[in-house]
Amino acid sequence: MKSKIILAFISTIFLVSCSVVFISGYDPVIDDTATKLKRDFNVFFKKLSRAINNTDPSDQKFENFQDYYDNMEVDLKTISDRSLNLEKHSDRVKTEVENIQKIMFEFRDRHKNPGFKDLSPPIITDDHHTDFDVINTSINALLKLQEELKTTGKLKK
Amino acid sequence: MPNSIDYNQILADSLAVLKNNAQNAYNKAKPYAEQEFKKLADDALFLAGLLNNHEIDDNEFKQRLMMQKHAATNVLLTIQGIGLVAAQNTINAVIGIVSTAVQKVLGVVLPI
Repeated sequence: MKSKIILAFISTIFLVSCSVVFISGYDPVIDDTATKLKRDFNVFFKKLSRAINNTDPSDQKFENFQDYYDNMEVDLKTISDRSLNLEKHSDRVKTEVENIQKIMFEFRDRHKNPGFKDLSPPIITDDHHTDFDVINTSINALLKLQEELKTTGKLKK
Repeated sequence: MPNSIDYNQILADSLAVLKNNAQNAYNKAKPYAEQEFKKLADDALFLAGLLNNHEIDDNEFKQRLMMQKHAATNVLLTIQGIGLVAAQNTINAVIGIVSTAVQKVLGVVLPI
């Protein structure tokens, strides 16, 4: 008798509770666009590094990279708009997208003004590898979270 | 069809899932956190060197540190997310285990 009562109790709980969701926010467009954003940035950064490493300071001018920045802004807008339409429990994804935007816009603005100098050690040693790291780290975090969220809500026994 | 639930089996299966999911989450998060935070710490040191050598001014130093802060926030949010996904998967798996046990005894499929 006792076990039947427990059984009925458990059954009732399951009938009303179903599966739980603590976190969500997987979006294939965000996943793909963030991957493209990272790839494009890394190609751009290779070209920028070459320009900084030679002796012609006009090579790394912002205007020479306008096409890249136009595409970057479009990709950032795409992931930002998509993140606004994510379902409940997606706050972490939204915040990560906002942070990527802030970081990349800050980098763009600094490239525009005052611009980047040619490397000439030991006086100028800023190769901007910290910018490279910080942008890759922030996008990697979003991609890793997206990878985790692909399995969200699915039963794993 | 059995006429009672095997609570010991449910507990054993649930603990196995919990251990497995917690271990997986830890194995994913630990090397990731170590790698990213070491990189961010090295970069912060490099920026401090640029400031000391007057290659960058105070304003640029602050702006670039702010970028580091945003990136660190993303890493922390992802680590948090890995933990939450593990917890979510564990609870849902336990619900699945109990549901299967109840189904065997009652012959009723629970809507999960």
